[in-house]
Amino acid sequence: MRKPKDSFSRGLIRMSWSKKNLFIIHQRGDRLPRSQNRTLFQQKWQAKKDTRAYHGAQLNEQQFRRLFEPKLPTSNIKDQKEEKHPSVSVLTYASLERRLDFIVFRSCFASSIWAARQIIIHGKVNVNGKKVSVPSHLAKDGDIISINPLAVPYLTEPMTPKGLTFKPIPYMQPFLFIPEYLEVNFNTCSTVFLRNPISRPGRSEIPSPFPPGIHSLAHEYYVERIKKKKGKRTRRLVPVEENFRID
Amino acid sequence: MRMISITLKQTSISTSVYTRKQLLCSLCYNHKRTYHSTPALLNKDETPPPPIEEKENADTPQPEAPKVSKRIRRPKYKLWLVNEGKNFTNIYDKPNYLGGSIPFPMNPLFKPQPPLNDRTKEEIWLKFTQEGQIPRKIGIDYGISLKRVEAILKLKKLEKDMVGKGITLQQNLCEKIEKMLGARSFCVEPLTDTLPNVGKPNFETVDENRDFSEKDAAKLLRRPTLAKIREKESKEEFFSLDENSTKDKQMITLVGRDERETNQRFQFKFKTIGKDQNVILRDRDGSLYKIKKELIR
Repeated sequence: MRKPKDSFSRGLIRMSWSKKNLFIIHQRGDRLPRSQNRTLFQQKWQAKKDTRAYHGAQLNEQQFRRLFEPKLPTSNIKDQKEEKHPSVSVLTYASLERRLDFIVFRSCFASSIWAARQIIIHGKVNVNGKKVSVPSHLAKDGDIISINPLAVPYLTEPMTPKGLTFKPIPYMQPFLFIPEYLEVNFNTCSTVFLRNPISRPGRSEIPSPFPPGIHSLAHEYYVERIKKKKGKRTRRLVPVEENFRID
Repeated sequence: MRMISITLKQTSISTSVYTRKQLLCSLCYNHKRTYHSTPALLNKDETPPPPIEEKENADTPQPEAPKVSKRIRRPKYKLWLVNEGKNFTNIYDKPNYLGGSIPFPMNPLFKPQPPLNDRTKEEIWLKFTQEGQIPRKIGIDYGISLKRVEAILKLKKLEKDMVGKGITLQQNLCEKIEKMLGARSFCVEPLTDTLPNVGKPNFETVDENRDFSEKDAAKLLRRPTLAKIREKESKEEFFSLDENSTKDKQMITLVGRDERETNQRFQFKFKTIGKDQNVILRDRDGSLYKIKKELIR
């Protein structure tokens, strides 16, 4: 029989507000997965296992490979005035953050990524006013994603002139944060997806329990296995240097 | 700590009752040796211990057999929930993360930025609609990016529309959750975010003896050298600056007039080339002018 998602023996950190998940994060603390006496493949496998358990746990490998982008954006910062950017590998799972279920979870409107999926499938989520019941819908920059307040887990029935009653879920507070690429309005229970997560000096925009080193290993694992062929159109794309030609 | 001792006491009684196989199974599962499992494992007798008595079989009175209580599963977890975990269930007036200021202890690089509070968003809305301030100024004042200003205004418009339709706003939620998120009245964000569109680095093998200058690099990158580009830029600047001053002043003096030499279409200019450069102009109405240029240099 399959072990449950928040199994203590597996010790995987999930996108969930459950108290078991909180305890697992506490137990793992700041100890990185061991790299001593581990071959490179073993380290990459462990990194992939840990990061994928958090980022896109509800996705199959096949589904994930369609979204994975092997080329990370290169940031060419020569100025020493700015604080050093963390390794670009923090953006390994950036392409997943456009998905509707991720947006609903990141805006703190669902208690887990699977709950977010369910809310969407049950039709409680609108994108730019129209109902979208597909959790894999990718949002464009500036899209307004609104959710029916009754579907939010910590809003319950006795309706007051100030809206539904707020009943906090125990152990939800440690997970309450909103990433910088989302703008949330709690009065209307709606979010705007601003832009793709990008590299920032001294911090990572994508909420993740793992440091950039672990993401680098996971990225390396996938890059070796996913070779996205360039289509006919992209092969004919003019390289950057051509645009600067002054003859 | 008293709690622990009580639970362990209870379990120690029941150790002998567990089969060795069950204990080994649990050990393989947990990778941990628990207090109550060691004595049974050390016991090298091959005689199979008596089977476990269920709690429900209390009908048949057996005063000699020890009373079995199920061993406490995951004691550490349950203890933590009661002791430290309680802090995450009752403090609701400020952000409360696992690692103090960071939510994930393993990743200190993720420091969540608190969002803007509703009061500030109302101010922004009023500034845009009533005062007519441009989003750029709003972005500079509050330290938020242009995209965020746009988003705030869009969401506020949606809010006002909903109020107009009669839908109640979730103000309870807004007030309470903003406390938990630590929302503040400003942000620290650049106005625009642009990632430079830098291509992959080009690698070129060069002989050890050979020098590699910027001209060779420019040739490889198939673009003119930086020096040339800068020169071109500066030339353009030079021209635009001297538009007003380098125009030579012209002195036009009327010399004569001939009524017969009128012309409806043309003005005739006669220019002498050589040392004495004179320009004579015959206008359409027959008048003759002498033009002298005063060079300013």
